[in-house]
Amino acid sequence: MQATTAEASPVQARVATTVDEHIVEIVSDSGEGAQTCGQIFADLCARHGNGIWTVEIIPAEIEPPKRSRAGASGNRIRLGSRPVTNAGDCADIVVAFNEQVLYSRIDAGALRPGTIVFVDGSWLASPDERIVQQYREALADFRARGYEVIPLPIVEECLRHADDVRKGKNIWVLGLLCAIYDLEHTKVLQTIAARFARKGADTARRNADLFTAGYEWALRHVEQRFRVAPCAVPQDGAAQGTVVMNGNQAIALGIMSAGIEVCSMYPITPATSVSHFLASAFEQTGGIVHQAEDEIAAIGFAIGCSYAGKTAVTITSGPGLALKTEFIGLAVMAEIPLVIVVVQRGGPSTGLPTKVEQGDLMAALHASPGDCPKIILAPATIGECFHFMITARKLAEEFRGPVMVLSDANLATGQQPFPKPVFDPAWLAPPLDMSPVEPGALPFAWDPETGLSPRHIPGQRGGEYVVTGLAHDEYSHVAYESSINQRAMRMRSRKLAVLQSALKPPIVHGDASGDLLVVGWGSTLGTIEEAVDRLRADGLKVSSVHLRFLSPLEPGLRELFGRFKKVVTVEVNYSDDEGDPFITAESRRYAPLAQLLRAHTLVDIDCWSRVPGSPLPPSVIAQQLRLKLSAAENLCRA
Amino acid sequence: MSATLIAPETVSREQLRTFHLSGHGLEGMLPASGLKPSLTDDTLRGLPQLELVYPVWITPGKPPAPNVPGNEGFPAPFSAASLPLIHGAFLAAGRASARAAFLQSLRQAIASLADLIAVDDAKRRPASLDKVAASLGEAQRFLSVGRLMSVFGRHGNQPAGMDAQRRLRCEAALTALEEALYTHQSAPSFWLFSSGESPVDLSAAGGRVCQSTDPCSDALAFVNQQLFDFAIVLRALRLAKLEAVNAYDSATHDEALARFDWQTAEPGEIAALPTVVVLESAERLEAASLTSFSRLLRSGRPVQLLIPSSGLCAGDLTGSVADFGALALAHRGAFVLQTSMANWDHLAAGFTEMALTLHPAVAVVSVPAPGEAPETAWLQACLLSLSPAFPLFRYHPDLEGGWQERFRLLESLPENDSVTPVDALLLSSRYRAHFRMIPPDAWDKEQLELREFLRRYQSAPPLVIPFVNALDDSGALRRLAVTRELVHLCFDRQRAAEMLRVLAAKSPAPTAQAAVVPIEANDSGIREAAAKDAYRRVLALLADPQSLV
Amino acid sequence: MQGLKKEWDILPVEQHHDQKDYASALPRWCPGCGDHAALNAVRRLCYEKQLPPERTVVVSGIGCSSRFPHYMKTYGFHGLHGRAFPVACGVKSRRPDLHVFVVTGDGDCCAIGAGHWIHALRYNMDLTVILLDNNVYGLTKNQTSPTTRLGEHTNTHPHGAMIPPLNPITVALGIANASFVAQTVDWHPAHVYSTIEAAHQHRGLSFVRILQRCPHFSAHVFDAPLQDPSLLLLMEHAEGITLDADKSKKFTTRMQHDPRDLNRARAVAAREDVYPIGLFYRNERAACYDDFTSQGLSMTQSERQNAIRAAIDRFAI
Repeated sequence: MQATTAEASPVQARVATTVDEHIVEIVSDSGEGAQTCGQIFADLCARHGNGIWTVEIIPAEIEPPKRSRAGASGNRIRLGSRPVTNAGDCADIVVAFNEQVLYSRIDAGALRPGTIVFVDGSWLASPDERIVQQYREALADFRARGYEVIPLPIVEECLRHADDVRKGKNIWVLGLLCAIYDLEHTKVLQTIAARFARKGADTARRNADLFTAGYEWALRHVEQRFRVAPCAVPQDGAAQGTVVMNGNQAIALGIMSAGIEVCSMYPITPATSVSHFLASAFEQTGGIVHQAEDEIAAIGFAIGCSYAGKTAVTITSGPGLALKTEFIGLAVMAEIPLVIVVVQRGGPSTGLPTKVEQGDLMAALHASPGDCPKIILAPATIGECFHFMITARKLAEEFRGPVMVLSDANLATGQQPFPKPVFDPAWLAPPLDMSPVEPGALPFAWDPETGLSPRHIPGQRGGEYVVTGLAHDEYSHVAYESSINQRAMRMRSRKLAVLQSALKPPIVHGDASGDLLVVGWGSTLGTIEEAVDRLRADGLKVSSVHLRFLSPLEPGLRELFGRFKKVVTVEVNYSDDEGDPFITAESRRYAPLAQLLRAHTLVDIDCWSRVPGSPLPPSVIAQQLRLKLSAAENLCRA
Repeated sequence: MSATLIAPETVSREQLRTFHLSGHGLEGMLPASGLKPSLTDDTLRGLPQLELVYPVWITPGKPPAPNVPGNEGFPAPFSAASLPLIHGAFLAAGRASARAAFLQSLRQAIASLADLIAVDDAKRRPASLDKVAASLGEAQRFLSVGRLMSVFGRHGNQPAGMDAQRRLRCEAALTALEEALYTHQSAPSFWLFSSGESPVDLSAAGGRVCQSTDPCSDALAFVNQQLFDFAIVLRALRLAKLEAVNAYDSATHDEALARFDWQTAEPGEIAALPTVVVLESAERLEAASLTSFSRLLRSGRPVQLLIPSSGLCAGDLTGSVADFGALALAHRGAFVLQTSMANWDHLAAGFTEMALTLHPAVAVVSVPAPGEAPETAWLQACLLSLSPAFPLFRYHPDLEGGWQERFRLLESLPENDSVTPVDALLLSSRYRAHFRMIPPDAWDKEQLELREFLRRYQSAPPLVIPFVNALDDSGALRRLAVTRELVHLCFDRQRAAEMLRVLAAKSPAPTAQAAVVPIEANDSGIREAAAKDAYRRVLALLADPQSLV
Repeated sequence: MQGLKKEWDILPVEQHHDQKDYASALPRWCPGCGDHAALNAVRRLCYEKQLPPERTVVVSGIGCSSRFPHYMKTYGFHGLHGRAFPVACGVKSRRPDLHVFVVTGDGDCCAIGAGHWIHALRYNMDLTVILLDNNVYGLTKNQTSPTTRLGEHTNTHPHGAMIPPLNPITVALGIANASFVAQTVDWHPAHVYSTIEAAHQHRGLSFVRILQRCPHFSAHVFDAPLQDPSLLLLMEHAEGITLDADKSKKFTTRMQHDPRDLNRARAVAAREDVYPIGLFYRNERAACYDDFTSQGLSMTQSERQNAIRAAIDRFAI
């Protein structure tokens, strides 16, 4: 049943259904602009005052085949009347530019009976019989699954305003969505005009026409209308205003705001967009992006720069981290400050370059030869991606060593609003001290209790010393006595304990004690807490805790875990499931955070993790937690 | 003489003679206005056109451009009032980069001193809890900042801060530099001292006016104070540069800085100061402050002096006219430019060079006479610079390349002196009393055209009436008798021009040229040649005693 | 008058350094090791040019050669095997005021570090690079290196190396934007010094290869030119490495070579019948990456702060 434009019924004031939140997905073939459409829609909703959280749907190839399940590209936007912290469960509306890419979303479990599916109906008129056949079968299938299917005359509509249909569909769809969600027409047009101003007057005008066309078509032909009210309370006390960006942009801005002057990198998905942003923005703050010849050169350059006084940052993903481990070890041994950002992706090996995974924790902790204690942070929100960069540089310089910041592909591309950071000059690196060093000052004057020491920078007269990766003493002389090696290791290790003494115990989400405690880290904060909230609403005694410091670990964990009957980590990485063949208590491989916490606290912590290549929906987590709870109960009774 | 009745159309020789010598009589023969000098076709073709040059467009930050309107700025018409605007615009454009560079060096010196003091502060006073908390960013909520601070402050050797003397030095220098930055950012690009009746508003060209009765003296006093104050700022700059690299050594540098004055500064630094300009007309200078004029030019200070001259002084023409260009030349150490608003290329080149010099600089500029129509004033100015009345030249005291480079005289027309000052004065109403029309029937052999008259006058003043040809508004040729005073004026200007030509080495000195003997390794050959030459000269001398003169 | 007395302008009082100020520990190289010659030359250079020790940094990798920084009383960075170049580039990137030397060996530079070496040559940052080439891995006890001659026996090739060696000079001359390539031998200290002096003088990456013997593992590799000095080809030119007349008399085989001629340089470098020493190639106008990396250094804190606020504001809604 194809909607025709012939029956242009007059614009009716349809009644809008007020909802607390909605999840919208837009999917298309690669290159059709569904991602842009999603980004703009998210931006518009944020300006409207909604809380948003987005997830990019990214194909792994540059040019995947058209009309294929694997080639789906697009965006999911969850908008709400309250701050939104995760991607949610099933979509309420999906707009698909062809029916095959919709299947990829079905396979991912993103739809439910009742999801409204808008699909481009132009395929029905395709000259290719196979395509028409596929289309018919697919739509029948969709209806059988219980989706509400509405074909759209996208191509026909777009051809009225643009010659190349591929250029217009996403803006037309944007108009459609804005009408469905009742976003004010003129204000939106202004935003769009500003966004496309750079591309020339013709493009801007064409986009405005396409947008209006989609908007008006929806007003005439689409029954559904939803209203998602703006957040009543300003999000997190936003007296200073709100910003919207994705995690990589937040990291880049954080790097600039920390006064870092050099970002040294090698291109790797999904980290590269940080450097893209910096490559043009850094000029404003007097910094540079150095693209090195490989990952190892990138960190070497950053270390050289830090050694000469200006702490630098290097950015990579899992495979790059593997290459950098020798240099990380050198930075620890020579106590050279450095910030290393790892935007984790699906592994192992080349894995899933565009998909989220939290698989590099162990590598971050242990991959370098020997004992390499270092600080590891994991931001959990987009806002923390910004703020942790400032903390990272400061800690790197005070504790004189590398600080790793673990992000992931979900944070990298997901947009979320947060209070606009109010810049404080104290964030910037202090000016270099080039004054001569005190006579008798040692290159590694370890405080015997803390292991901390001031460092000499080239240019300081009297401070000349040779940094070396070889075992060395306080004079940075190569150490040949055995006691020196022991002492030096002790000092470097001590620094972590010192930092831990200054950390606060983690804040518990929920009650301070109960039946089940969920522990997470990184981008799963929102989805875990939402799952926990659902269980708590059902009266279950579940709480959660989300770690930001992974090395050193936040204090008080053993005592905290003791207050719950069961502790489970929920992670996006691989672990064996209990009950699988051959998986016993002795052979079961636990998820990385669970391994770490088990060793640290001696508590029999369980884990549940998956590597779906997409964020864990709260409903799935909730379901698993219920299973864990009931299993625990059964155990108790037994 | 007035008693004698004369028919208005005829004049007698005696009447003409009286007029020529005394300037009186024949009032009926006063020329009408609208007379134009009779010029050769070559001369006419060579005259530049007013519309092609004026109004000149003055854009802030750029040198003025003739008749090319820009997006911002304003036009400067062909009038005396435009002169300080045009000069000021060249000045500002020429020194803009020096000024910008100086401000930048101030900013950087301030930044590096501020950094030094911040680093010193960090060493002396342990950071407060708030400061440490702020430096951690918002993630501080995961940390106990107090506990962190207690471990930070426990390093082994706590570095000591700067010694007290150094700290005071740096702080004093920082204050001086901050004040200097504030002052210089808002300072005008030039100060104009003038006793002129109508104060010109120069803010559009970036300048500020200071009224004064003796502008030369006041300007000198002002610039002395300016340089004294500036030396303090420059000392602070040098101190900052040394302190920034921890290279300040009291034993050496205290003394070095104490003796530092503006003369050891970089030229770029002095050029960054707002320039002190004096605007005084030739008439007022002559009447009032010649002493302070001389003192200003001998001072060696970086001042500029604009002397607009509308032609020739209207006073007593018996003697010579005060020639400020030549007077300035005699001061040797000053940059001297004699130019005309009617010769834009020469003026622009001259002002561009003048903007970059730090010597005392004088520009004597031919400006249109007030009260004349623009075309008349334009023609008059053109003719003045073509004639010996107002030769255009430029003298730069220390340009490399020898005298020929330092002193450049603009040669207008070949030396047949086809234009005399009188041709220019003819156009001006002020000098009308010096002319009488000779009716055609009174033209006779006792009248001689002025150029010829001037040529013959050298050997013996002929007893004839000098006249100039002119064209009236119908194009008819008219003959105008001129006074003795105008003749003296012409001679004076010829002498002045001759002097300048000699200076420019355009014509050889009247003494015989020495025989130029090629330098050879052949000593005896030289002696022989010299002997032969001497013998020839003695013979010549004996043959014609007149050559001894 | 303005502008007089420039010679008494206020300048920093320079500390004077003796040659011994640049020497820290006694070098622990074997007697007869060619590294001593390089160390002496660099110490002498620092002394002659009065380079402030606190603003001199020597960066090395791993190997006997790379022990070099420990014997200089300057700042030093004894890093990872093959990775001296990226560190040196990083050091120089935001500190153009530092004098940066890189000391590396044939394994460190041409094997594991080859990738970095090639790109460092291209970046052409202002570094002085000394490749101490003794045709063997000495520190790890006698393994084949990329420059080991065909047929030489080592612990990893007891039957003799079977692949012809890599020629670091022809490689360097083949890299785009390389700006200074020179070669010398450790048994001519005057030539070593002149070469290193010219290298330090040049703005850009000055690549100097010093042929030297390891007295333990490659003592005989250069027997041929040592016994027959005519096998050493001294490249001379007004634009090249200049030697005093009495020093250059020792070289019987000499050739005029204009270091501006890249094609000729490559041809000479490829010769296998002689050991050419001197300056193969110099290009003063090659692009220097330092010009890019040092941008923004003079920005003031307030400019920086304003720019940061503006950058954040662009994301405001």
